[in-house]
Amino acid sequence: MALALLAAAGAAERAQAQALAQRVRAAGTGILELHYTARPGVCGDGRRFFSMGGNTYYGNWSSGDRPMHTCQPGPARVRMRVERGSVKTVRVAVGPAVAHEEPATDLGAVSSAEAASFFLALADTSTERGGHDAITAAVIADSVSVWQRLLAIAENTGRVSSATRRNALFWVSRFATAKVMGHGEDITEIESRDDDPDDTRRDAVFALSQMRGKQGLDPLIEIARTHRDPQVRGHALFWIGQSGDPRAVGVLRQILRG
Amino acid sequence: MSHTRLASLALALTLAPALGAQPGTSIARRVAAAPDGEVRLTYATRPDVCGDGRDGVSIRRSMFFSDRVESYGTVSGMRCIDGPARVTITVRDRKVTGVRTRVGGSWASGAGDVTDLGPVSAPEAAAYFISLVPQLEGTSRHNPMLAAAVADSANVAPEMLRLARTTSLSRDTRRRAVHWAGALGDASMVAPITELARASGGDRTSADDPGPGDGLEGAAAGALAMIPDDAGVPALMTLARTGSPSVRKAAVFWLGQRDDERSRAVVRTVAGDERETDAVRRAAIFALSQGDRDSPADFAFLRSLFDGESSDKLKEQVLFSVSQRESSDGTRWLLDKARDERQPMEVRRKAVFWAGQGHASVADISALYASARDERLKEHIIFVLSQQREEAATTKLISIAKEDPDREMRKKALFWLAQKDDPRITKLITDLVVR
Repeated sequence: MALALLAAAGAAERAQAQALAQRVRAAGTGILELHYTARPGVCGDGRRFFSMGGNTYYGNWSSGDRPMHTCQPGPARVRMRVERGSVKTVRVAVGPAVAHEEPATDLGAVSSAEAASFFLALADTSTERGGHDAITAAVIADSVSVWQRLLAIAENTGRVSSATRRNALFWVSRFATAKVMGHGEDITEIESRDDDPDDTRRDAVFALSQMRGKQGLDPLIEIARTHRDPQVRGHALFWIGQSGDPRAVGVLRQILRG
Repeated sequence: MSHTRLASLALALTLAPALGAQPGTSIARRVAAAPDGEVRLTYATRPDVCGDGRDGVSIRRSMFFSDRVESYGTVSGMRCIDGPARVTITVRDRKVTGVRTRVGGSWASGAGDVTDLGPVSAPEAAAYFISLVPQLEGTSRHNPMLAAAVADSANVAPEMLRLARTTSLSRDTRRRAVHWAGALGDASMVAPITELARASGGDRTSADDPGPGDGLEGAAAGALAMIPDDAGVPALMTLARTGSPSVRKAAVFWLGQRDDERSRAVVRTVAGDERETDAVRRAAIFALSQGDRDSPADFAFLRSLFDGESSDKLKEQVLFSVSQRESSDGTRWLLDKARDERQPMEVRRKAVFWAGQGHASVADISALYASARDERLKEHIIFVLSQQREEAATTKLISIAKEDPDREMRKKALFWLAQKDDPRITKLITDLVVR
């Protein structure tokens, strides 16, 4: 019964995402924007950056800015440049609505599940830069489990661009880190912790990631799988996710499915 | 001269009158008549020529390897024996496409498509190869000038000078030609080569390059230094003070190659002349590092120059020049400068870098690390240690990575250790994580 309900829910999300895709296609050419509920623990300035957990920032800002002072919780706000029904670029922001120079057609609020499904489908099929950023748009959607589809995208060497695959792998590594640290799929929780008492181990993990000829990858994988300290495992997973090595997908899959 | 060479020469001289009135034309005719492939010929070499039978050829103070690597100085590491020139001419579609010069040794047997002209007159061979220069330039890395230069009883210097003056030829060809004009010439070459240096100054040198540059004037200055009996040295000294900036740079470079005190005194004067441009002064300071012997006078001068100098660039050049000294006094001085808190940090960092690149031991550098208080200096010392090949340097880095009380230093040491291609380092770093 539970499986049947889940399947029905999944089918409903896919149908909603298809409806959203239809609305995007129907818009033809121009700037589109939409918003949806973001994960708890995510904030931003509504324009240039967002933060997860308060320690890590994504986006663009100049060194004079102090993003932490202007980081406000709020919905995920995505603006897309669409040409003849095809999404070319995706810009992700979180927080308050802000005015933009370029006017946009507002598609309004969509459900986070609908948004995540739409953006994952976009990432899985787009060869444009937008595919890379669509990954991020999907990841910050509230109450949606995305890592399995991210894993599939990371493995899809036939159709998906390498930049999109790398971004998918990065976020998969964050989900794997959340799991080994006991936070389930709450990747904002790992971002808020920076209390490793033994910095040398963290530095050593980084040093392994920087070794010539990827000599350090095998030890990193072993550390990610077996180290007794979840923080250290998390550091190793982060650098495995950054490695771009084909072995990374298998390791992360094993941890997430294990 | 060996019996073989005497015999070759005698035969060549005997044949020479019968091979045509225009020097080299009979060889040219015979080569033109040869089918595609290799044409071989042999002729007597100058008394000051030797070779290894393969691609190493030495003439006076010039050495050539595969006609691509040139070196000036004394022969070392090459078994150099007297012998006739054995030159291979490559012919394609009835045209000469390459010339390869060997001295001594013997021909490989059994090669196909070979036309052997046998022994020929050395002067005629020289004339022939000189005539090939314009038609071969840019098409072959094997320059016929070397084949001409080794020929016995041929005064090729005037012809080389003519080639060096020929503006339609490439810079590279002209540079080679002026070299030979000096190296094979005599005092009569001083004035025309000096004139060539003055006329060609300023075209190709970079202010950041303290060497002689790759312009014609640099080659001309080098050619003056090559003229036998030091006949070109007075002109070189004059050029060091009165030529264009690029000529002055080249002149001090070539004077710095010499070990005589008069030449070095001129270089020191240029280096210390505050009216001179920084680029030329840097070239002079660099030149003081280029002699074969450690000169106490140079070292004293460099120390004094450093102490009175305000330009960081010139100071850095002094640090480099001192680092090239073989004796330990230079290393000690560099380490003192690295410790000297009155010096700007960048100068101190450069001092330790050049100490490491020079002759400082790992123990010296480690002691400096132990006494250093400034983080920027300590970071740099870690980098300098990472550039040392000795096992002791790796051991020291490991010790810093594991035990230094400063986390930033541990991190730097780990980073540089990770750059070493060494499985032991992988294990060490892994152990740090899993301990």
